[in-house]
Amino acid sequence: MTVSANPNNDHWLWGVYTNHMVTHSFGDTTFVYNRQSGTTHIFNLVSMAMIEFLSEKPRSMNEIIRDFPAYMGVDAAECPAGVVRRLFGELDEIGLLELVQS
Amino acid sequence: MVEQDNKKEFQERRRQLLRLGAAGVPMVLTLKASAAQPVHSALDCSFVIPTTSNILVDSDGRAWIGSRGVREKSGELKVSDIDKFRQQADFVFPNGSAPSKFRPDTCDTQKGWTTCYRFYEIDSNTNITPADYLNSSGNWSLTGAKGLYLALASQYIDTYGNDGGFPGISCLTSILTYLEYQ
Repeated sequence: MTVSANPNNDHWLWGVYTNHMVTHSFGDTTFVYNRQSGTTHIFNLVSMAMIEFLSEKPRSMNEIIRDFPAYMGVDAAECPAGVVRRLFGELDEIGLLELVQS
Repeated sequence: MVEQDNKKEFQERRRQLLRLGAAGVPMVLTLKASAAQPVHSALDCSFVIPTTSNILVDSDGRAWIGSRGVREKSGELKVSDIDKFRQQADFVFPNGSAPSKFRPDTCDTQKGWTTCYRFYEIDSNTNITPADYLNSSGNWSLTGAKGLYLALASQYIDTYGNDGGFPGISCLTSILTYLEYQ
């Protein structure tokens, strides 16, 4: 199953290109315009939470898998690794993730 | 009080989205001028499952798909392996998703081993031809791990349609659509 757009080493830290984003929220939905690509994306509460989580500080893939469930206030079983990896892959694919340190 | 209720409601909406995410539904949509999805037209299509896709099923028909292993001893599965498998799952399906014949017959847990789950293994690069599982009268005859995979894939199509990155979906959709119009 394709779950992540990129290979990941544990010492690679990932952040978000917040400068590239223009956001407008309507209730639970956020429209995100990416200045670099010129494309608009629709985010839900989970994808926005991941953006906020990675905006706090850059994190490695292992840290993201380990800590994102607690950030969301749920058990690891409710937010399994596959969900986190796919979400990471989706954000990476639209060019919003920044490899801060490799 | 109102603020607490709002917070609870907000958390529940996020939980609901996580359940959709566990079934493979995308969390980000992109606005495009046109978004045509290629669909297989051949009914004899087959597809390859690229990575190890093991399936864990509980007595309510909930199912988890993931790449981890679960140790088995005399028909009993190791509880700690099951916990890890569930936490690391790639896809999660709700109650009733796995047909009853794929569910465990008994449910007993003792000393770290349980019979409350059944475990099916599919190796990486496994090829599945859905038409192999149709009998001569055009009904599905799903057996074994690959049959279970097809059963879950068709559940997925019913709920989410031909989208979301579940391997084999467009091939299976073409067959299901064909059968529907027969």
